Order: sequence, then C-alpha cells, then structure tokens
Amino acid sequence: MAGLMMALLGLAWVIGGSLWLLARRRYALRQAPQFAMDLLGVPVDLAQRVFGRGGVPYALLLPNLLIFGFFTFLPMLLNIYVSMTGGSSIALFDRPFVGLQKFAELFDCESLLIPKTCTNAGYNFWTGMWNTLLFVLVQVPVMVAAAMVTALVVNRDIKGRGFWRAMFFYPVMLSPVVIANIWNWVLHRKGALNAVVGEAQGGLTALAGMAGFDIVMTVLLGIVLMVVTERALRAGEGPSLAWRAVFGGLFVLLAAWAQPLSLLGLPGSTLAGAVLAAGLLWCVANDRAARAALTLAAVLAAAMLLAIQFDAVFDFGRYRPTNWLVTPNTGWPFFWLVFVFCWSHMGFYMLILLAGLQAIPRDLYEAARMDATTPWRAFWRITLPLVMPTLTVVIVLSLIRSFQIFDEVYLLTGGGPGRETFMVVQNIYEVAFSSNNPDYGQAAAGSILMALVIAVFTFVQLWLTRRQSEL
Amino acid sequence: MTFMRAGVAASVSTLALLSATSVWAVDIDLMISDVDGKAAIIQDFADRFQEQNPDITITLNAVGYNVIREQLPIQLEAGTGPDLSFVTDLGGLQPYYFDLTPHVDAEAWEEAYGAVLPWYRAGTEGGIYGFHTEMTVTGPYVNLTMFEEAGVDLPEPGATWEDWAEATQAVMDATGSYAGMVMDRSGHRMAGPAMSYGAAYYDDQGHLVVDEGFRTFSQMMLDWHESGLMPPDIWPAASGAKYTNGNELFFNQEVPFYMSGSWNTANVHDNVGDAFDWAVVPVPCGPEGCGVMPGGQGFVAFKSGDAAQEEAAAQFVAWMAEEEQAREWYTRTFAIPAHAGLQAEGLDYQSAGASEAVAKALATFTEMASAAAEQTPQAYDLQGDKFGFVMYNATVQYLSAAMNGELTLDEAMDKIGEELETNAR
Repeated sequence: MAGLMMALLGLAWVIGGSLWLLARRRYALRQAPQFAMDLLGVPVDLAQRVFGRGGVPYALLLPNLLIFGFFTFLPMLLNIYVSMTGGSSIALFDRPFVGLQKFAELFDCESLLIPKTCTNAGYNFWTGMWNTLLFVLVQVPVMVAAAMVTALVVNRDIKGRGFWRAMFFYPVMLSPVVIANIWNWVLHRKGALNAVVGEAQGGLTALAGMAGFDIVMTVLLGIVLMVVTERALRAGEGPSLAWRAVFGGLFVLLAAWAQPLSLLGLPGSTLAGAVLAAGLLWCVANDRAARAALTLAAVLAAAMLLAIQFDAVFDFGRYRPTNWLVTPNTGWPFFWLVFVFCWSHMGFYMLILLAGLQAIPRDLYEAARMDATTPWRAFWRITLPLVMPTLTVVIVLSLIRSFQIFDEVYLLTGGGPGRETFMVVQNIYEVAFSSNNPDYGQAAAGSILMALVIAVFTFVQLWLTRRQSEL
Repeated sequence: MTFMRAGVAASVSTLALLSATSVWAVDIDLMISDVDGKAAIIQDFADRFQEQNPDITITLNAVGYNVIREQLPIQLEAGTGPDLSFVTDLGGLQPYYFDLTPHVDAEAWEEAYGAVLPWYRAGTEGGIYGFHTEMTVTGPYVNLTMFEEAGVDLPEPGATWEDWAEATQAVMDATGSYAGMVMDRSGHRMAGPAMSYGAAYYDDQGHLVVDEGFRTFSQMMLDWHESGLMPPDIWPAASGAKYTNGNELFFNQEVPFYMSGSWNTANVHDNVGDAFDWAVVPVPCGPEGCGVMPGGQGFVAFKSGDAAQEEAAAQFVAWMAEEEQAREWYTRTFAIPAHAGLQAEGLDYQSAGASEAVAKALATFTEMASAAAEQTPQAYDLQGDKFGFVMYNATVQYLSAAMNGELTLDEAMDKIGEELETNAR
C-alpha cells in the first residue's frame, strides 16, 4: 500500500510537474538539464504559491514534523497516559485509570535515600535510581577527562595519527552485545585477565624459588636506586620533579617490602614510607634542604634494601582468580562497568572534542609560544576556554547517555551482583517486560521520573556552563 | 466445444485444488528452550508428524530458558505468541492455553495423565490443556571422583543438609575446589529443602506465606554463601529473579555437589562423559522430612484466534501424547514419564543410549518423588499453584539481596511477604 502511494506520488510529481512547467515556460532541447532541475524544484514552487515565501520552510518541515510527532511525541503522550493506568492488560483501552497511584507507590518510603525503607516497587526503583546517579557522577567526569586527554594527544602531530584516531574510535562502532562479550571473555573468572595475572604471578613465584634470586634482586635494585638518586640530585638544578617522584615511589615500595617498623613490633610501615616520600617531595618542591633530605632518604632506602628478603616478597603462592564481575561488596563490578562504558563510548566524544580543538586558530598557540608560555598554561588559558562550548555539548550528551545505560550493564553483569550495578532503566524494563506480573503503569511512571531527573541535570548543566561563559 | 468444456473443467479443478490446498496448509510455530538439548529430539518428532500430515508445517524456535520465562507471557498477552511451546509455569500461563478436549480422546488422557492435568487447570474446572513431557523432581548430583580423591565418604541416605555441608566442605578443603555446594538460582529448587526444615508455604486460609521453617533454611543458605561453601557466581551474582544454573561449575569439576533436577540428567550425561564419575544421591533431609519439588515441563497449544492453526497445534500435541510417541519421547529424553501406564511399565533408558549412571539416577529421582509425596505434600500444592512463580521469584530476588548484604534476613522475609501479599492473592 505504502509502495503504491509512493509510486503514485512519484508519477504525480514527474507527469504533473512536467505539465505544470511546460504550461508556464518554454524549453529548448539543449535546456533539458535545466528542465530536470526545475522539475526537482516543483514542490518548492508549489509550496511557495500556496503558503507564500515565508511559509515555505514550514511546509518543508511538515513531513518531518509529522513523522516525529507520530514516532516520538505521540508515544511520549501515551507513556504519560499509561503511567496513570493500572491493571495487567497491554491493550491501552483495557487499562483502568488510577490517577497518580503508580507514582505514589514509587514514593511510598520512609526515606527515599534508603531504598529498603520503601515498599517493593520503590525499593527496586530507588535502588536503580541511586545506582544510576552514582554511575553518572563517577563515569561522566572520568569519560570526559579521558576523551579530552585522548583528543589532545591525537590532535598533536604524532606518528600514525590516523591509526590512533581510528583505534580510539573503533569501539563506538561495536554493538553493546559484542562489547559485553569481549569484556566477559576478559573478565570472567577463567578469562584472559585472570590468565595473564595468574601466569605473571606464577612466573614470579617460580623465579623467587630459584637459588640466588635474593642476591640478584638486591644488586639490581641497588643499581636502580643509585641511578634514580643520582638523577634526582642532578635534576635539582632544573624545574622537573619527575625523578624525585620516581625516587619517592621507589622509597614507598622498599618500605612496603622491608616493613622497618616491624622491628619495633609496630604495623603501618607502608603508610609511614608514603608519608616520608610525600614529605620529601614537599621539601624538594619548596626547595627546603632538598639535597640533604634526598641524601638522607637515599641512605634510608639503601638500608631498607639490604634488609629485604626478596624470595619471600615475590613468592605469591597459588593464585586464586578474582571473580571481577561477580563477587559482591568488592567494588570491582562497578569499576569494570565504568571502565567498559568509557572504553566503548569515549571515541565518540573524543571525535567531537577533536573537531572543537581543530577549530582553535593555530596562531594563538604561536603567539603564546613567542611569549614563552608553558604548555600547561596554554591549555588553561587558550585551549580550555575555546573548546568549552564543544565540551559542554560533550558533557550534556554523555550525561544523558550515561543515565540511559542499560544494554552494556544488562549483558555484562545483569545488574548484579545483587543490585550493585542495577540501573534505573533495567528496573523499568524488568517491571514491564520480565516480571510474572508485568506492571506497565509503574514502568511508565518510572520512566517519566527518570526523564525528569535527566531534564533537571541537563538544565542545571547548561545553566552552569552558560553562566561560566558569561563570566 | 468439447475441447473448450474440458479446458474449463480442468481449470476449475485446478483452481479448486489450489484453493483447497491453501485452505488446509497450516504453518505453526513451536517455541522450546534448548537448555537441556531437547530441541533436536522434538525436531525429529515434528518431521515425522509432518510426513503424516503434509499440510502442516512446524517451525521450531529454540530459545534460552529465560525467553520462555520472561518473554513468552508478554508475547502471549500481546497476541504475538507461538502456537506451541514447552512451558514450566504450568498454572501461570493457563489463560492462554487452547483446550485440547475436543481434539483428543479425553477419557484416555484422564486415565494416563490424570495426576498432572490439574496443574494445567490452575483452579479452573475441567479441560485438557497440555501433554506433560516430563515429570521432574529436584535433587542433587554428586561428583564421586572428587569425593574419592578427597578421601571423604558420601553421607548415607537420610543425612541432613548440615551433614552434606560438612562433607562437601571437607572435599573442598582437600581438593582445593572452587566451592562445595551449588544450587540453581531458582525458588523452585530451594522450596524442597526449605520444606525439609518446616516451611509450610501456606497459611490456614490457603494463602502463600513465608514462615519460620522457610527462614531457617534461608539462614543456612546465607551462611553457606558467606563461608564460601556456596559460590557467589549463582545466587548473589545475578540480579532480580533471573534464573542461573550451576551446570558449568559441576561439569568443570569446580564443585562436588549440585542441586538441580531430573530434567538435567541427559545434559549431565552428555556433558560429563568420561571426565568423572557422578551419581544422583537421595536428597539431604531436615527435621521435617526429605523435601523435593515435583514439577516438570509441559507441551501446550495456545489460543491464536485462527481455528486452523489451533486445530493443527492441538493435533500435534495429541499425537505426541499418544502412548507410542510418549514412550519414545520419555525414553530418548531420559525423562520420568507422567503417563501412568508407562510409569507402571518402566522405561528402558539404556536402549536409548543412557548409561547405567543415568538409569540409576532416574530411579533415585523417582524414589525421592514418592518419599516427598508422603513427607512434604505441600510441594504438590505449590507446583499446581498459579502463583507458584510469584513465590519462586520473590525468594530468589530478596534472598539474593540478603546474601549481598543489601537487606538483613528479616527485611528480606518482609519483602517476600509483601510480594506475596501484592501479587499472590
């Protein structure tokens, strides 16, 4: 039927349009291309005649408006209607009107902040809502920062720039099912990650069991310590803290292995080592007896190095694989969810930011370089302000997408363990489609509440960024 | 003229034949969960049925068990469901069943399948709504090789769940296995053991409830998960009422004890092969008996509004339930028959390729069923209850939340109670 309609419309356009044109203008044979172009423009001519010049854009928008209205606005209105109906029927007119009862069920709580004080409907909904908010608050800054850093890197004149851009973008093209399968394969208890960790751990344990391992490690680390100390002392003349930071890291590691406080029967050597290393970095940064402090720390580090039994440190015994996506109360499932979501979506936002970065005039950077501006200062004073409008778009888009997270989490963890990664969209889906007592009204009410939260977040975000740009 | 008349007659005959064929040719869809490898067997039966009934075409749709549990009811409600399906929520889907009575020998059905037909009626009067393709009983599979390697003796029949927990902990410690016991993530699987510890499941008015006996066994489940005797991969890992089974853990020798059911026997047989010795052991007991849940799977036809499709679907179900086909089906799928005559006759599973272990396992399951019928009769009521799945789903959902520390056990009991109050009255 639709095909027939389209064919008739096409015929009317070609035949009717030709007749209409030929009745008004004369064409020579060589003007055939112009005739074809005029034929294409017949609907616009017609619209202009009917609606006048000002009405043409609206006339051209009409088909789009109709399609959007039918497929977007009408379902939204129906959703509002369904949220005010009860019963179990899927047929719209067999559902009794219950007013705001479905919303009231979701809000039937002693405290909204503690979902378990709600009735079952509210318990499931608010658990999902708070999990989603936590996910958004953690994931959006992480992903935007990662996308920004990646965009800055691939915007530079590095070797194989096209390849790196494609590499970062390609996960965007994968379907969530593929993404979930890839990461399940990596993160399963018997997956690739545990295999790698297990093999590395087994290899180190075997190495630690070899004769002379202790001496070799002491000598090796002694050399490393000497080189790093020497570099750190020499670098004292320059502005860089990098070698001091490496020295600090080494110092913490040695304290963790040697556990010097255990000689006094006290725990907490690792923490003490970290405090000392931080103090050392502070001394160096403020140029307060930096050289003396570093020398003292080097002597301490050498003493600790001699006290360490490396064959015991590197003997990890039998490796018990970590159940990354399954074990409750470890935080790992949530961490991996954030990681996988960033991995799979970052490329898209990186691309938008890259376009924003490329729109910044190069001469600004050249002028900054002539003024001996540091790259860090150039980033804060030039790049960030100029890329801010693009960054706003990225933040809003990623915020909305993060709120709607469902497919990846449903396939990767199923919302588990327990309800640790259970998101609000999953709650809406389960209430409507995977329950023995489907409650379409409550699912519709939940989706309206979710839309409201997204709208509030988006408006606050836009308001903040507008204020910032006005300042 | 004669030539012309003959031509017209031939044309009319051809048209009539074509239109008759188009009237009688019926395409019907069959949905089956292939989790236990039965799709290939039903395909074989469907092929034979189509040879005998060339006007009927059966299209097989093998799906995951969750699709049957979660999506089939929605499809049926929306009017887009299949014509035939294998279902386990026997009472819950009752409103959608097509009544087979006019299409079968009702008297023969009552005689053969009378014990299970009420499960499909779910409280309605009369009607024949499905062929019970397997009588099932929940029960445990044990990895004998792991017990032997650990030097731990199998607890004797009549041993309690605590005894088995102790024994499997010893096997776990000795062999370094991942866990000691695993149970499918299903309230149906937990119901039998809970009944052993006094769970009545019904109050005086016949309403579903949670009680002290249910709480006792729930606490044991929580303790076993906390200690690591039961793995986090099954109950705590998933969310909501999602079904998960422990097959992989058992097949990979990561756990010596697996609480599943008789429907899984062929699957265990095929997947374990010669990897290790296994057996089905009598279910552990509690102070109130040795509870298991009966149940099973049924083959049903759904109302579609198309008389020809409904009749064709009914014909196939009726044909499958005939004694000859039923015997072959039960034997090849290593299922306990629901047909009274075949139960009395006994089936020769070994002729269909079953090992001695399978034959023994099925015998043990059958013994468990008869013991449970006496000791925990509420199991049969629960199986035929149209709200059974409300109970099962609430058990899984809120007990898992307690295992993860989201709720205390008392809070979980309250939440299950609320669910029953809301959806099972």
